[in-house]
Amino acid sequence: MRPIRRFVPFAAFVAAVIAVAALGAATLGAGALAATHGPVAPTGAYVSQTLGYEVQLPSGWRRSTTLSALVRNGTLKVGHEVFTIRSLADEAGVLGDPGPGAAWSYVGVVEQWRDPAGWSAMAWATDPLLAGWAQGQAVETAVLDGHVAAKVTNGPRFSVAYYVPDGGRMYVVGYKVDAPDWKPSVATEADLRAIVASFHITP
Amino acid sequence: MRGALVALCVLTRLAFVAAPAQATYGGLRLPFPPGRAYVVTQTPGAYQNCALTGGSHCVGNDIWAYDFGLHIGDQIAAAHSGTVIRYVAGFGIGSCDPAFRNDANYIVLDHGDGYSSIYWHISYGSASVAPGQYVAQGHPIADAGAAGIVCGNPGDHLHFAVEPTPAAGVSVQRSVQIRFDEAGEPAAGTAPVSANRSRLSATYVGGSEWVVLGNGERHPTTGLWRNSGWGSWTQPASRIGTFGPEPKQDQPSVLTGTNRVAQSQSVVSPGEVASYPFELIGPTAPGIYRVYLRPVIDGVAWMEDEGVFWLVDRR
Repeated sequence: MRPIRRFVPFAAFVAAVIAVAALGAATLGAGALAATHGPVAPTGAYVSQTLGYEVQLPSGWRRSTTLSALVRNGTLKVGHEVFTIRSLADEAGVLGDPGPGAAWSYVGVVEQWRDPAGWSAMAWATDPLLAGWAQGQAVETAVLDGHVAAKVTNGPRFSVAYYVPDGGRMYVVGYKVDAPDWKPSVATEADLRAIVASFHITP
Repeated sequence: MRGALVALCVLTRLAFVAAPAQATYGGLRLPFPPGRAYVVTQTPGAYQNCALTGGSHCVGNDIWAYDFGLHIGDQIAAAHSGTVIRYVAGFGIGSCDPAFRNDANYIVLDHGDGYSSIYWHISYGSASVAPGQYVAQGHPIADAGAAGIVCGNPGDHLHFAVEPTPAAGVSVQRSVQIRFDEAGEPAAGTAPVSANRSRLSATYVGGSEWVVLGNGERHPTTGLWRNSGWGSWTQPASRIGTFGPEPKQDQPSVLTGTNRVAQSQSVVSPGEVASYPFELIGPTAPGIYRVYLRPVIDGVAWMEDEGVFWLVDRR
């Protein structure tokens, strides 16, 4: 793999967009905090118009523009969005690692795949070509957002992932904590579980 | 002053000696079929001027990884025997964009000694191994590709590393220093030739005898060959056959009466020893007789000719 180079003017534009979005999220977060009375982390809703879902992000979490991709890469996958607690600077500082990925450690991920054959969640989650496979992974039936889903723990791509079918498309909703050396100090698995649990398919 | 300097030198030397040397992981063959050569497109970071190159092997888990210039569709072979413990093969062409990190196709083989080899960027759907399958060194794993984070157009290559075997719930770990049996630690820009195992390969183990026999006297004996390839030998095709110079290829031997000896086991897996029991029979006329035998998979190929023969002194 060659060194990663990014187009600086584009990066500046992206940073500006993120800054505006972060300002908005902070305002929303402050409002949410004022309305709560217990030690519940403030959350903000993230709505994905492109992939058709929403999640609740605990305070400090944001959508990573750098790690999200809404393009196809020759498979059934439509795109994915990544949620991180790293700051932009922190994230940029660990992008160069080509291994399992410092930037990808302790992130939540929502993927959308086309499912023209109408696979069941369990069939998809246990197909090695579609979902991959890891020794020791556990697969079980679960429910997410009211849908019968398949939950895979310690799989090859996610620490926990739910496969959620929805009329010709399959969502993969999960998180990664499989590179503990790269854990951001403020990240918690509880936050990631909460993000996943809040997943909701929007009409 | 002089005493202090001597003490400092001794302490420094002791500290140097006490420092544990990092063991280089060996027993590996280049991860492509025998006879093939591919350019080393990136060495471990330790052998780069990282400040200058900024290579991707300069940081993180891949500091001891190698990149080889395989192209899409080129066959990847197991550098070490092992069991498939991770398997992702469902992605297409990747990108230099870090957003594609989690979309990499790769296979991890657990060597069973605490270490695993990892093969990144394999082509979509090209895996020739199954989850949990044990494969011998040299066994084809998949075709090279460009899935995951790859730079260039299309950026295809094989990224190879050896790492401590990850526990369940942990992805790949920091790579360790490695060397290949046939190439050591190859330098960037070189194109080492693989001496990895072929599918069919035999190594003589023992059994050859020098026997004195009378006319018609029989002597039981057994030839032993190790399966040193990555494919299994199965009955009835796997046998040893007569070869030159005596009697000649496929000619019946006066010592055995046939041109083939059957394998005793139904299947001989890679690394196992096959046995071929037969009888030597004293010929009618006195003299020195030899029968040269060589492993063969009938209808497929002869294996290595190591000049192995049995000798009968007919008195």
